[in-house]
Amino acid sequence: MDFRLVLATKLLLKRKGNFIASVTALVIGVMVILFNSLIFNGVAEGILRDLADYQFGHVLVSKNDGNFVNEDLQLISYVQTFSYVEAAAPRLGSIAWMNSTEGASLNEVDKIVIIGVDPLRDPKASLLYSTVNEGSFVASRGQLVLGSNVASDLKATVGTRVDVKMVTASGEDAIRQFVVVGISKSPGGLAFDDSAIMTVEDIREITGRERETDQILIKLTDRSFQNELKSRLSNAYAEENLNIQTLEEAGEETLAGIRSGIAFINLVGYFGLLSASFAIVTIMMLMVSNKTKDIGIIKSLGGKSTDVLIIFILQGLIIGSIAALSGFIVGSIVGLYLQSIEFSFGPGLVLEVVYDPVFTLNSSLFSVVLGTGAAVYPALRASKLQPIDAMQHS
Amino acid sequence: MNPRRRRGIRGNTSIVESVRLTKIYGSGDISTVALNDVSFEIQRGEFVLIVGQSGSGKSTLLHMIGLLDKPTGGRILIDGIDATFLSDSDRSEVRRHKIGFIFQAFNLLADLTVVENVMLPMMMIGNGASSAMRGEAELVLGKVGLAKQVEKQANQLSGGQMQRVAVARALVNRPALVLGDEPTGNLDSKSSQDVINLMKELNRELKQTFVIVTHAREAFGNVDRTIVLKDGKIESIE
Ligand SMILES: Nc1ncnc2c1ncn2[C@@H]1O[C@H](COP(=O)(O)OP(=O)(O)OP(=O)(O)O)[C@@H](O)[C@H]1O
Ligand SMILES: [Mg+2]
Repeated sequence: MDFRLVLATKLLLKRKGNFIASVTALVIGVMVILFNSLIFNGVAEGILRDLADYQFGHVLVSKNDGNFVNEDLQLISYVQTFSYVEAAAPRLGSIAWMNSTEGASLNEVDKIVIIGVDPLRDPKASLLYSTVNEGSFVASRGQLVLGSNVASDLKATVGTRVDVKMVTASGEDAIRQFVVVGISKSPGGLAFDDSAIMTVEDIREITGRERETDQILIKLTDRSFQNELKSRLSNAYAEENLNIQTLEEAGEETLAGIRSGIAFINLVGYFGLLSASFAIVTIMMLMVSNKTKDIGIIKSLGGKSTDVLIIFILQGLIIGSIAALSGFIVGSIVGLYLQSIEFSFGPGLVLEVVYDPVFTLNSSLFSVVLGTGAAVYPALRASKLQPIDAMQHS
Repeated sequence: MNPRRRRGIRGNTSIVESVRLTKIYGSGDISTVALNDVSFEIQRGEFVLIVGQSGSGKSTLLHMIGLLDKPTGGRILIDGIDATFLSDSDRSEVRRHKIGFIFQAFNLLADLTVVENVMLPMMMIGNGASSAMRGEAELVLGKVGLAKQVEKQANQLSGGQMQRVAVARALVNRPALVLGDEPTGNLDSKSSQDVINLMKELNRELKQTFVIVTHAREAFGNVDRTIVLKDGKIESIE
């Protein structure tokens, strides 16, 4: 074994305190990167998952020129022939004004977004039904599910009768009475709390848009098939002027807003990493300065400045490698743990944490670079001393 | 290495040549002239003592000869090579291959064992550690009476034991020039005599040059020359 490696290990391992401190500082640095990325990706994935589950499915099909008329069921039957399609359901949106006379006063709400659903198909393709935490989902015509905010504005509970007014395709007002069968409260600010749900048949009938559908959402057994389905559909319906969007495309607008927030979180993370780096450099300086006498002795025996430099860079390498190993182990445990639980910051969005071993390894290996880099400056300084000056250093 | 060799006065190359050597520590009012215009030559194979009162500049002179520090003025030549013209790296090279140094304060590496300390100069010359080196180191440690201490941590030894490790470390490579700064100062008279005998034996048999600083010149018996320092100047060479 090369004498520089012998000295690097001996001088390092006999002084456990500094050694542990520098490894710890590096591991903290790695953990900052890893945790940050787990959270970053967890938030983005959590949002995408919620968008898929409640709003868009994995593939969302609409028409560029108006609505589907009568052809939605045909398209649904077609996509269900693919093995990776779990379910598909039509939706039709509208805007409504509502009032109720509950509690002897007139309570009104304006411009509420109404989601029209197929009571049989929708629960298979979407988790929208699961947002109903009081009463039940719409099962037949004449039933209404109110978002929790809308319900409280209307002072409505399950069983309350609500008058609903919509504008027909020809521009006239149409009013029907509905019974509230459920109140919905959704996780993570999906905005369903400010909307309402009824059957797609009711919306068609009230607004006079017979057999119309504006969106078909398709749920896949695995999200990774979304691009394949998209290209299949665009080939099969080449003449139809369909707008076929994958989850990422449909959710782009929502994600864009969140991304700037995430960028900020990331910035904070990198400052954390920066301070960890300073800590590492400081500890390394301390380690080298504690060894100044030894450096003098090594040089007095014929060690060169480059030998001294190599000794301390090797130490940085050893520290960095041990930190990389520890960082990988700790990072993997944390990642797998956060992946296994439903991790969230308080109520609201549940993060979709995905443990990525390759990224974890790469981030851990970064500590080798950091550890070695931090050793260079103090080692360079120490290696320049005359042997006697170094030995008389106290 | 820059080979500015020059011939000594007697035609052969002196192992050490000091030319008007001056060392001033500090500057201005607080400066100390530790060496003042010191010139001498030491021939290959000589056994030389340096004596003088405390503070007379003995250690400083030895550090200059050992290329451990740079003089303020004058020149030092080792084996005909003028150290003034050497880079730090080349000075290290000279120390590594030609000089063994026994420090007044021992200067062992506390984190290494006794035998590792002694092997280090060999490891620097050969490429890394070998069992032959270990055997050699143990042999020299045996000669200074430390056969039983080889695996001990260097900082767990007594002062006298540390000094003997320092002696072993300086001798193990059989360097052409051995410099000792009171190498027996911490030893009882028996151990002291053992170490002196070992050095004189090596001097006789291997023609190694010894330059030894001491306060007890009588213990060395007959030596080739004794340089007497006083206030940083050579008082006499006997
Ligand atoms: N690093 C230093 N900085 C300032 N002055 C120094 C330094 N080293 C030595 N001196 C001074 O230089 C002079 C010579 O010191 P040196 O150590 O060479 O003496 P010495 O003959 O070895 O003494 P001793 O017998 O006590 O070991 C002394 O006055 C000392 O105080
Ligand atoms: Mg001295």
